[in-house]
Amino acid sequence: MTYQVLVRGNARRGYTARVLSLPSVEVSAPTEAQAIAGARAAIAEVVRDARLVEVEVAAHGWAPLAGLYEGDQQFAAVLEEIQAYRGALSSQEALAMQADRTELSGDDAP
Amino acid sequence: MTRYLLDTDHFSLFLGGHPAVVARVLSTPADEMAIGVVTVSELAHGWQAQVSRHNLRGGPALWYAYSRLAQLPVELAAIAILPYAAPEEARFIAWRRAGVRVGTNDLRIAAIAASRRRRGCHPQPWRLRAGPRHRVRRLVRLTLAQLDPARGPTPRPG
Repeated sequence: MTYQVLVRGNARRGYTARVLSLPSVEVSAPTEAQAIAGARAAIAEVVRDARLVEVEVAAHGWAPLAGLYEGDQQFAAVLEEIQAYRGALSSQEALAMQADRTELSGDDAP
Repeated sequence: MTRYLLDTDHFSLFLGGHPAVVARVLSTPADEMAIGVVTVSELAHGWQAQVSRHNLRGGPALWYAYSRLAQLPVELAAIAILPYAAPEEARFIAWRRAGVRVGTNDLRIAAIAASRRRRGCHPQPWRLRAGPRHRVRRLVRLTLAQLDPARGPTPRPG
């Protein structure tokens, strides 16, 4: 298995090797080759009694919709339109029901 | 099994990122929630109205409204949408004849919820502790009363 190792430093200060996928593994040494060799040994130590498993976490189906219109000024206008539409629809239905009642009472009249 | 039916007000708050509603929705299993087709219709109507409003002038507002309208079916594809058909209509008419006075679409949504209940599901309208709109709370109380008369006030006869 291949690991990416970030090597930093110079001949005067020495070198550090950090394993990117294992943040706890960082090795310092006087030379670059020693730092890399130290990192290789540290990786071997870490993974010796370990195994890699893949864990899948299912995303919540509604999550992509959360805040979909957040801060959307046109959505505010959409909500106003929906309110107006509901009001108009309810008024139309009330008028239709009233007309039906009037028609029925007219039919019942002698 | 669908246990929660979000009405248009609550679903709009979710889309708008209302923290309490978003938290509640995302802490509930996705397969226990649904919206009614009435809510889809209202959202489509709202975006279509934006198209109509900006149609003559054109420009970014029109383009944006068109894009939102086009995206709506794609965005809603991942969630359950409950139908409004003969059983729901029968319940709606029965409530009207009994004198239930609630807005047309609100009563249609309640009919969708009640119809599912009769089929063995038990939709439970949410009650937000600090509901942002009095109207929403009133609707939820009314819907509760219609689903289970023991839990709320009896709808006022017309």
